[in-house]
Amino acid sequence: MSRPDIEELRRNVDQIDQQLVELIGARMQHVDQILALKCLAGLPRRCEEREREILERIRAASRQQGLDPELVEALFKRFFNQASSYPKATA
Amino acid sequence: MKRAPALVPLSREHNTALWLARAAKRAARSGNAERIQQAWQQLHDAWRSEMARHFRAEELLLFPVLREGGEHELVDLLLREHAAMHRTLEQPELQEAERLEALGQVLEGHVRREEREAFPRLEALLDQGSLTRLGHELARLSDRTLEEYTYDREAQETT
Repeated sequence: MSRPDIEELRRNVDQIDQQLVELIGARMQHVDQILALKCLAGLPRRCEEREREILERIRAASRQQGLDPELVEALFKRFFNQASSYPKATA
Repeated sequence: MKRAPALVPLSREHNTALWLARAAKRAARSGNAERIQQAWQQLHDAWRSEMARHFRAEELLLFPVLREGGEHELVDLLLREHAAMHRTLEQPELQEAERLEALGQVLEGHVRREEREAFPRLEALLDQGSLTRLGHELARLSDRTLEEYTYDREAQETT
């Protein structure tokens, strides 16, 4: 593989990294909104049943994409743990 | 994209709401009891002077158009956010920092959703004449009193 090919692929990776960060940011915004609505309604921050459903779905999606399900699952568990520290005023 | 003139008054009120939402979040995070109390007071004042009427106008005139355009999920979410903020602002005895930050978050997210999703969708759904009529109806509604709003809201919640 020539040097220009590698540069081209790196540019693609950089673009995907940017998209990943933007998508994670968008996910966080939605989650913050859900957590805030739960707070106003006096509901618990986390819902184990919902987390289980998400993990099942992302494990299946990871296998379909040829990814290590444990790697992706670990990332989502980090997302879930962040919810425990909402709101930031009490973090 | 430039906002349709009919929706400009509501967009201006969104700017005020965004400012209040961010001030509420900052005050909540400061942990300063005086700032927290001031932020609650500002939100209660805004609720009485502007927000309640703003919610009513959107619920009566904008959301039905969005529903007709098939935006049921969006409208359901906007209504849930309205209801959560309404309930919170009608409970002046509960003024914790945690709830203030949550209210700021819901208000900020709600305004963004309306500006980025609901209003552009309305502008796409309505032709120029319909938008002009909508602007006139919004202007007429602005004279309605908060008492009338509260009454209607209670009736709506019991149905």
